[in-house]
Amino acid sequence: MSALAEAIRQGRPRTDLGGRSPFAGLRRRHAHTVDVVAQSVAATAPAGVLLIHPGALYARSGSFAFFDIAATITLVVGVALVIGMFARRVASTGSLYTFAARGLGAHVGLVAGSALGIGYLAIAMNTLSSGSSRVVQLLMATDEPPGWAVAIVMLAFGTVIAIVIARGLRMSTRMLLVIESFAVLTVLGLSIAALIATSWDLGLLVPDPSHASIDAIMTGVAFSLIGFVGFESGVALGPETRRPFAAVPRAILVSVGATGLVMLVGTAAQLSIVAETSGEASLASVTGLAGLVDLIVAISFLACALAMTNAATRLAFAMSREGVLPALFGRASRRGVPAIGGVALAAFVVAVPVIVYALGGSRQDLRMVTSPASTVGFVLAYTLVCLAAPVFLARIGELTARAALLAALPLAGLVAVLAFFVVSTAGANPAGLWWALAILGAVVTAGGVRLARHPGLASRVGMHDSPVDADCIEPAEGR
Amino acid sequence: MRRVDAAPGARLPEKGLGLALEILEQVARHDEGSTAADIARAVGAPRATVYRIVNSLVRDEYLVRRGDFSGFLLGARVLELAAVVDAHRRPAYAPVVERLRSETGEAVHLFGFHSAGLTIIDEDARHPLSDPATLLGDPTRSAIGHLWLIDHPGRESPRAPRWTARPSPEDLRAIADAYTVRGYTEQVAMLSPDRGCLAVPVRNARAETVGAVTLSTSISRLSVAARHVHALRSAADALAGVEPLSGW
Repeated sequence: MSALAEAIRQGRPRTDLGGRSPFAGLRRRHAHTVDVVAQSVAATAPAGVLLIHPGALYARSGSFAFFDIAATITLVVGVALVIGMFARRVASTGSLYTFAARGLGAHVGLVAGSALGIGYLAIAMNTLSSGSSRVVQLLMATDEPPGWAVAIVMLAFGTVIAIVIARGLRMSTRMLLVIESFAVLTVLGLSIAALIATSWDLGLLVPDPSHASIDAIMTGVAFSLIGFVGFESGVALGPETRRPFAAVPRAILVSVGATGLVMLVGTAAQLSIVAETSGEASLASVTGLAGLVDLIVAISFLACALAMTNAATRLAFAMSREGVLPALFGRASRRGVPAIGGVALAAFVVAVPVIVYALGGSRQDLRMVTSPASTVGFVLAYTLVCLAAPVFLARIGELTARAALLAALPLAGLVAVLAFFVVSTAGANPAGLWWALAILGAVVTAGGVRLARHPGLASRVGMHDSPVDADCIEPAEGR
Repeated sequence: MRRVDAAPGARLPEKGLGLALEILEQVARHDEGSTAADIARAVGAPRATVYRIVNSLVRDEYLVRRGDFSGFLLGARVLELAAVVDAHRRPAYAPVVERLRSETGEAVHLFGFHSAGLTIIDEDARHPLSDPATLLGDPTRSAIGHLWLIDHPGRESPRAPRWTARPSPEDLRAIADAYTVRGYTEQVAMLSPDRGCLAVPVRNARAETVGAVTLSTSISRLSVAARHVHALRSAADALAGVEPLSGW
């Protein structure tokens, strides 16, 4: 034990690693597990998803709806475990982008990063416009909210999002925690009330074998998966979190477990309502609290827009520090937050739907593109991370058979879901899908051109919060 | 003189902790980066186990991965391990001496001999030596000094304390005769008016006296303390085989 004891006795910090992290300026190591959980859960928006999805899911998959949710949770847990393999070793605001780049190189990393970024922004736009239009519906007591009013509310919420992000990480995560806890508890309360009202009719949870079809199941899983995306977003807070290699993997699993449980209970409740009264049955109609339900959805979605913008800001921060994105996004404010980048992205998230409304479009026109863009974006990013994990582990000499298997299983599931989604959307919503793929292609191409033009840039991709002198101690002298 | 006081729980490292410390030691030795697989080879433990422990050390920031993932560095948090590492470094003689202390309930000290005096190897922290200056200066005033006068190694130890007093030939003869009768040495009230002491030699494989283990007690209990001589002798045999006296 002499070398270790000697190094401890001397206790000198190193001098060869440099004093500045690549993410210098960002306020490092102050957030806790709960902040990561808050970010991940809010981005998943279980309350909002629960109030909207199960009915729609039943319409898609019939009696396999509950089975779909359970299958999706299994898949998501698998992805979370793979993300955990990286999160135990790499802390970066670039999250899945950095992971994919570390495993599969700068160019594949760029595809994953673009897909993830598009996913974050698409969901942020989607939830911001959806939340805002529900708020307008409530305020004006109308089912047809006028575009101008929705645009004004979006601007207002966009401003709030920008301010909260600029104020600091814990301000946003703690706010998200309070909002989402309130929303989830209310939804669970309503669900249980509904279950009691419908005398716990859980008959619809059991799949009817005559409905079984790969089509129905895959449609259902692809659809429910979008209700879980965002669970990985807490990974981006790694460098800002205390003991990130412990806190982040734990927080991601806690988030997935908690949202999974809430989704299962909530879906069971909602499906039992659908079973009881066919047609337009919903939690709102059963409890007679349509206003409250709309309010919960609105709150949950607005929190989701904030969480997604927060995550996109962190992703852009890493890309900017590498030199892939302009320096603007990599600038840290006095509070140690990428404030300017956050404000810019919040402005973008507001601007796109406002422009769509200004051009006479509707929320449906926006969703036509953002919906496939988010599904393709997230599923592609998850797929690439599952592919990257064993390569990365082999590269650093830590690949085990168990890890390879753990990565292969969700990878197979994701590839199937992605392929199925692309094929089915190509039939149902071809314009939206092509728009989404074109945007992704354009962003990736732009990034590729930038990498080609600036030799040396590729080697910076995959930047992470590498140790600085003060994080380490020197080995004992003379060894 | 450093007496190692092991924290409870850290006293006997469990398997995981022992392996974790071994991994940290490997990293401390090979600063220029060894992968987890290299570490597994070096410590001779199963790879999966080593990866798991390495990752939990990284998780708790005792180890830090190099920025390019080519290997590991000691994290600043290992400084918190100082006490555990010292416990792990507990010298080989410590269990023997401590068992003797608990069995006898008396003050037990361990000494090494060199050509010109004594070295204190382990002083009983609960009952410190009453007059170390006299003990280390005058061989005629202590049981341990008597043992040294009878036989000692030629080992040079320039920085250790040296005798300052020189006994007369009559004293020497009397001490040797008394030892021949008893097989151990004894001192009463020569260092402290109410204390006495027994000393048993530690002999190496060549039957040279390289050190001694001593038991001291109040003079009122000294005559019955002779019942511990057997325990002292077994301890002396055990001590002859372990560091540092085994390498004397």
